[in-house]
Amino acid sequence: MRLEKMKLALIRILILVFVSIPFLGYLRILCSTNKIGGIELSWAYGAYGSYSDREGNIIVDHNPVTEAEEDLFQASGMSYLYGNIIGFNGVIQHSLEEHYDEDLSAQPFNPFKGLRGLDMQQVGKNLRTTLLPESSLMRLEAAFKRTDPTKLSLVAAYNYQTGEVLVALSLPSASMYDENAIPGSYLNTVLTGTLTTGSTTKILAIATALEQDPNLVNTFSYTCTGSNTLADGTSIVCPGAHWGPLSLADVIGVSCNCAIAELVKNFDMKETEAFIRGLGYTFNEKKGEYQTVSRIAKGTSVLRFKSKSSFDSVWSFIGQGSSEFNPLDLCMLAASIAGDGSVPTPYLVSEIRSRDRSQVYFSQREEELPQLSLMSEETAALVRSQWRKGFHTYYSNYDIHPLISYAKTGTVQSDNNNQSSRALLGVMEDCNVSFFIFAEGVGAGSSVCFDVANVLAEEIVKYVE
Amino acid sequence: MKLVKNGGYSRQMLITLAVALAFLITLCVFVTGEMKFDEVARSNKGAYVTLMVINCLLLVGGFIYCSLEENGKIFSIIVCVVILLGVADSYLVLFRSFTSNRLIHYFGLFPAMGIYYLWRRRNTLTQKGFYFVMGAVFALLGINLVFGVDNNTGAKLWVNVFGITQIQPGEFIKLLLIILGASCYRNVKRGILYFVTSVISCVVLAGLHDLGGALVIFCLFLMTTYLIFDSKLLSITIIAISAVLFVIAILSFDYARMRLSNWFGAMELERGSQQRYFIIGNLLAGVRGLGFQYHSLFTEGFSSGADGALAGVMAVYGFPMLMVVFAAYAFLIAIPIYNRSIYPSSFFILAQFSVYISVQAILNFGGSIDILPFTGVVAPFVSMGNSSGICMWILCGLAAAVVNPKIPFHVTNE
Repeated sequence: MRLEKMKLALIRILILVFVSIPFLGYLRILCSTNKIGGIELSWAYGAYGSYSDREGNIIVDHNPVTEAEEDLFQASGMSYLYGNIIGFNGVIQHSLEEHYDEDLSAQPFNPFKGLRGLDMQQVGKNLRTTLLPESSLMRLEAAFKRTDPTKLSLVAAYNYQTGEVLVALSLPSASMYDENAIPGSYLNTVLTGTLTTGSTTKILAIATALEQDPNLVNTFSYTCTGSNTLADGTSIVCPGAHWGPLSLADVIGVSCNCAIAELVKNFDMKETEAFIRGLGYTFNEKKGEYQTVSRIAKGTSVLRFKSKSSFDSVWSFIGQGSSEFNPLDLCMLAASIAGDGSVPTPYLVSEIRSRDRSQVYFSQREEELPQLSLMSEETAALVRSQWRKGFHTYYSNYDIHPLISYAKTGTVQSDNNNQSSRALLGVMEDCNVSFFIFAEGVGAGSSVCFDVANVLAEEIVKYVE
Repeated sequence: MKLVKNGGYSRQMLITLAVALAFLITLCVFVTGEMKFDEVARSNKGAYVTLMVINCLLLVGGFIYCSLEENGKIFSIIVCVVILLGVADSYLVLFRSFTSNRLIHYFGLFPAMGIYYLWRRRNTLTQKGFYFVMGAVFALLGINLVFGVDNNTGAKLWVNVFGITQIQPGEFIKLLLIILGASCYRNVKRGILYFVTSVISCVVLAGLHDLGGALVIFCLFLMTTYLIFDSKLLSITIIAISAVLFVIAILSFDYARMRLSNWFGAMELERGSQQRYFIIGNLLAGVRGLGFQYHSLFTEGFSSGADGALAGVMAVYGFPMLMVVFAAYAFLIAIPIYNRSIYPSSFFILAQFSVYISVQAILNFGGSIDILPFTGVVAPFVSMGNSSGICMWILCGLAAAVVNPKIPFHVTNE
């Protein structure tokens, strides 16, 4: 009977194993629920869900029932104007897709249904952004009149009453993975980049000066002779001009390098550092505060200011040096000047709802945004008054939309003047919007930034209360 | 032909036939419903229908034959195999498009019938036959060593055959070792030769990085050695020595260490780990399964049709279907064993048959979802793979032969 015993033993072992192994396997799978993230879902299946602009127009929608292509973003027809903000195929690390795919795609784990609901129509939620519609972005792009698609063209617009980022247009952009994509098209410079911004930086210099000495408004007077010699023997020049006697408002209006140099010479180093770091910027090697815009890491502005008597340091405040600024940071700076010195944290995502819009999963309006205090209310008011005065006095020759309350131009110089880049930082007080526009390689005398700003004003007034 | 008898197993066979046909028809209805979502499935519909017709014919033909032979045990083997094939065909053909592979797979029925015919009349190998089979094992090992290619898997498992196709000698080696082992009943000399052949096979396959194959051979060898020499001490000694050698191998060889280091770490691996796909797929599926609509997860890896077939079946059809598959495996093994009327030597075949199927199924499923180290072993009848499919058919022919021997048998009281 030994054989019989062996047979019975073998059968019992086999039954035990074959019954337990599937359950052990399922248990192992259940143990992995905490390790699966949205990135897995989005990579394996595409980030199911939809993204829409501030008006609710769908920018891209990945419905697993109707989607035929496995390369979801390739099939989606998403406008490239949104490409480096929304993201695609997991290609862009700093994008809404990378940070919100789990919010849109993932469902609470149900042992029976798994991570997906029984009703496929409900898979994927809708994320509404704060961004202007595609038609507005197309008009902005057209206003640049770009002849070279590789050149950088930026528009940043920020509502400083609500914190909404209305425009984060960074061209070149892309909407699908393309091995031949233009270099830089996957980076949204408005959100995550930094750049040299020319004389728009002088607003920062004025604010720094008035933060340290509010009386400068009354006491400051400088006569520009075309050159200002620093303690190290180098000179800051106003190329091709000597402006004569200038007030602070005049300095802003004519963009006098020598006057700015004179202001910077009198900066207190410690107070300057405190002010710059209070803006969230990196000051020399001391890193600025890590900030995000709806989970996307925002680029950190960097000011290099080792000594108020050195050319490079002074040049930093004039906007031609090694300092670089994030466009959104500049918008926030301008916004703080337009307001009371503090601004709401910028954001891109206004709400997340179910596909049929019946359920709200997230609403920015119901969550309080931290206010960022960038400067004192007094400083803001003083800078604002000078800026407005300088703008109205010296910018009357430009064709400027009446909504633009005040603005500051800038030129990022190149060896060849025709390849210089232009920038424009401004405020539309009636709409509570600040903006920054940058056009690479358009030439020192180009007014393209004003053309873009005018279009921006026309578009903003349609959608912003 | 008597299809219905008073009592006996003909009525049971009829009921079993009805249940099996109902299962196949339900499966067809289910996948037809799923097809509307899936282009790949729709494009393979013709091939799928052909295969399901073959399965139904197998069932009916098996029923008729087994009724004539009055042997329900063989019919149980046929039913279990057809259920496994039905599930595999719908998964591999409709979901993964391995159509030609599945069609070729059914040609294994012919060598199965051949071995069934032969083994029923012999029940063991002659002395010449034993040496011939042993020689064949070494020949296959040599061919694998010299001509083996790895097809980007890291293990040299395949051999090109005149540029037409590829075979896996390792699968045939396992089959031949089972036949060798089964011919060692009460023959110590043969037992020693079998012992040596198995050890050499195990070492060579491990050296070729076919760790799964080596493990299966080791389990077969352990079972057969125990049956041949009837010594627990020997078995324990073998296990102890093997454990020491295993530790030495882990410490000495990077490949072995690498394979073991990934155990329980599938979710931490870089993207591209196939175990990760299978786990994610099953998380997404839950108990109810995903259906046919989620190709992108499974088409990333060839192995979802082979190494991860059971995990793939669970993800597509749900947990209940996996239980059906494992139940089919369990019955496939248990029903022939649970047979009072077999030669003791035939038990060697059935014991090895059970070890082969259970170890392969467990390694395949466990490895694909990371409860066991990933060994790349295929699931019997469910995974694609012509070599393993043909070997499984032959093994089933052997199992059928021992439960329906042609020569008179004696019940022993050992």
